[in-house]
Amino acid sequence: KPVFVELMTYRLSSHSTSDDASKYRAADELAALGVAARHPVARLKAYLQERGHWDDDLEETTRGDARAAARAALDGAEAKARPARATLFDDVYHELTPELARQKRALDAHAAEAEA
Amino acid sequence: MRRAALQVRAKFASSPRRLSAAPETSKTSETTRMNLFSAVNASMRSALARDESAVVFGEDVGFGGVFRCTIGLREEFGAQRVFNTPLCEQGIVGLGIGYAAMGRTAIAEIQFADYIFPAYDQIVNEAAKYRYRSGGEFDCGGLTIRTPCGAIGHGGHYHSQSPEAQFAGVAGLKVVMPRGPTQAKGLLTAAINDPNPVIFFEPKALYRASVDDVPDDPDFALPLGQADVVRPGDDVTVVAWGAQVLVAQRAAATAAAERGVECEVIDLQTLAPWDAAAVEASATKTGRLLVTHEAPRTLGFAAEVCAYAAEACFLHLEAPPARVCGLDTPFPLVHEKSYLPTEDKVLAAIYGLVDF
Repeated sequence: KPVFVELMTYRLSSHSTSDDASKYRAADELAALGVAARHPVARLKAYLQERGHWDDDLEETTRGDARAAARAALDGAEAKARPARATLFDDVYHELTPELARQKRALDAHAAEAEA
Repeated sequence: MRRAALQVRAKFASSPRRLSAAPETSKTSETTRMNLFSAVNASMRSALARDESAVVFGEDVGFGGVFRCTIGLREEFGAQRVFNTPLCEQGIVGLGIGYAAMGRTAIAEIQFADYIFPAYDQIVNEAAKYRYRSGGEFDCGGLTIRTPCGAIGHGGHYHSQSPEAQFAGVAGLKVVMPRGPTQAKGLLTAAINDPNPVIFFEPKALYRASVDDVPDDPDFALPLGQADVVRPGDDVTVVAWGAQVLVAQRAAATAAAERGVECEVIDLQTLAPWDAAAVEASATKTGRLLVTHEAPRTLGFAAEVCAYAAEACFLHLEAPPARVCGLDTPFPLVHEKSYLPTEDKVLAAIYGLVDF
C-alpha cells in the first residue's frame, strides 16, 4: 500500500550569518510552535539517556572533541594558500578549449605587463 | 472563444494603468540626494500610488528586501499589494505573467539574477511571446521583473552573474540596466509604464555605493531605448552599461591625463532595444570602438554591438572593434579581479585602439 509521509520542519536559526531573523520573525514564534520540546537532537539525547547510552560526562567530552575538530578544520582551511591564478581556467570543461587557452594567455600577458 | 476571453480580460482590467514610453520630463527641479536602492524604492512607491492595480512581490520583499529596495512599501500600501512569495522563481514570474495578462501591473523581484534561470522558460516561452502568439489580442506588458546583478567582491558563482545577454536576444523582451540612482528611478518608472515585459537589472555593487541627486517628481522617467553620452570625446568610443560605466569613466579619465586621449563614454542604458544610432554616430566620429561588460566575453552583448559597428561603420573604423569582458568561466570566488574587466584592462584596450 502506498504511504505518504509529510515531514514538518522549522528553521531554528537565521538564514545565514548575514541575516537577522528577529527583523521579520516574532520572538515568541519559536515558543508558540513548541519547537524546543520537539527538537530532534534533544529528543534523541533523552532517548539515549533513558537507555543508559549517554550521560553528562560523555556529552561534555563529545562536545569538546567536536568543537576542537571543527576548529582544526576551519584553521586548516584558512591557513591554505590562495589557489594560483592559473586555476581560474581549470575544470570549466574536461579539457582546456582553444578560446579558454587564448584567454589564459592574454590574462598572463596582462599580468606580466602589470608587474613589469 | 475569443469574445469570451476578451470579456474576461475587460472585466478584470483596471483603468488605463500605464503610459506609453514617454520622454523625460520633470515637473519640478527639486531633487533629493539618495543611493540606488532608495531610488528604486521611490520608483516603486510612485507606481503603487499611481496605479491601483500595481503589486510588488518576490522573496522577502515584505520586510523590505535583502537590499532594502522594498522598505516601507508593505507598511504604506498593505500586504495585499506588497507580499512575499514562496522560494520559486518559476512561480514568481508565472504569477507576474498571469497578473499582467489581465491588464494589471506586476512588479516581480528575483532576489539575485543568478536565480532567474528557473523562470527562464516562463520568461522566454510565455512572457516574451504572449503578444506575438496571440496576434496582439493578449499581452503581459504590465510585467516588470527586477533583479540585482553583477560583481560584489565576494559573490562567487551564484551572487555575481550578469545574465543580460541571455535575455537581450529574446524577441518580445526589453532589457534595462541603470548606472546610478537617477537612472534607476527614471528607467524603472519607464520600465513599469512600458507596455512590454521588461527585465530590469540592478547592479548590486551600486545599491549603497552610488549616490546621486535624484529628481523628486514621482513621475520622473527616462526613455527606454536611448543611450546616454556620459562623457564626450573625439578619440575613442567606449560603450558600457551598469557598474561598468564607472570603470569606463575612470579609464577615460586616466587616458586623458596620461596620454591626452579623449574617450567618448556611452551608457547604453537599454540593451533591448539598444540605441544603435548613438553608437554608430560616435564610432563613425572616433573611428575606434571599445565595448566592455562584466559578463563573459563569448556571446556577451558586446559581441552584438561590435558586429553591428563592423557592418555600419566599417569604412570609418581605424581599428577592429575591441571587447573587454569577463572570462569565459563561471564567476570565481577567488581571483575576482583577474576575472573582471578592470580599469587597467579597459585602459590597455583604449591604448591598443589608439596605437593600432
